[in-house]
Amino acid sequence: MGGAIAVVELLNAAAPGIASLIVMIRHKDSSLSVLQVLDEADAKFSANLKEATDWLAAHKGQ
Amino acid sequence: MKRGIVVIPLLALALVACADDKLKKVAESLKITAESIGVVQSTVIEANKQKLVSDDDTRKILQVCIKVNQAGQEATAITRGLAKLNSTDRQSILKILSPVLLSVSRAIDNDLAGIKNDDTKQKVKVLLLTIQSSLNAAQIALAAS
Repeated sequence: MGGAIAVVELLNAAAPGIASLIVMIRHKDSSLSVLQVLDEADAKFSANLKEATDWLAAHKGQ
Repeated sequence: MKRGIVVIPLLALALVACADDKLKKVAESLKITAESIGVVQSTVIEANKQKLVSDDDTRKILQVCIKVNQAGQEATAITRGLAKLNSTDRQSILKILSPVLLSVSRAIDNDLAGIKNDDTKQKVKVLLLTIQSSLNAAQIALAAS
């Protein structure tokens, strides 16, 4: 019984660390990383915005 | 009591380990949208350089592109902070994406009419339809409970 409680306490102590580790692994794994996909999308949206606004500025009132 | 204490962290672990497929679908749809809108812009700007599309028509299409890019950035910012989608987050992203989908539909129906060069018109139309489909996929993922 004492051993079981010790295991329970160990699990409780380790759970937050394991959860962080799983999040890290998910972020490192490109097939699972939502953040990486969002970073790529965001960078592309920014580049697109620059391209479009540059063209509009260069052709203003023409 | 001890059993209850261990169940909570284990549930949390299970939630973290389980990838949110809907969130991933939204992220991937946004990325496809970003890439497609980039190709629309490049195609139209290049066609404009070659005098195949007038400045006015290029301007109209780029203004729609700007709306899509801005909405995409907003949707990306909201999605970035989430581990899982709840109903409030869903509504926020839907509110941003819905008017953009309307603008893309309008561009397909009206703004392309001004492009006289059929090849360019067809290319841009296919890309706008891709954007429409990817935004629709994001909406479906967001609307699903």
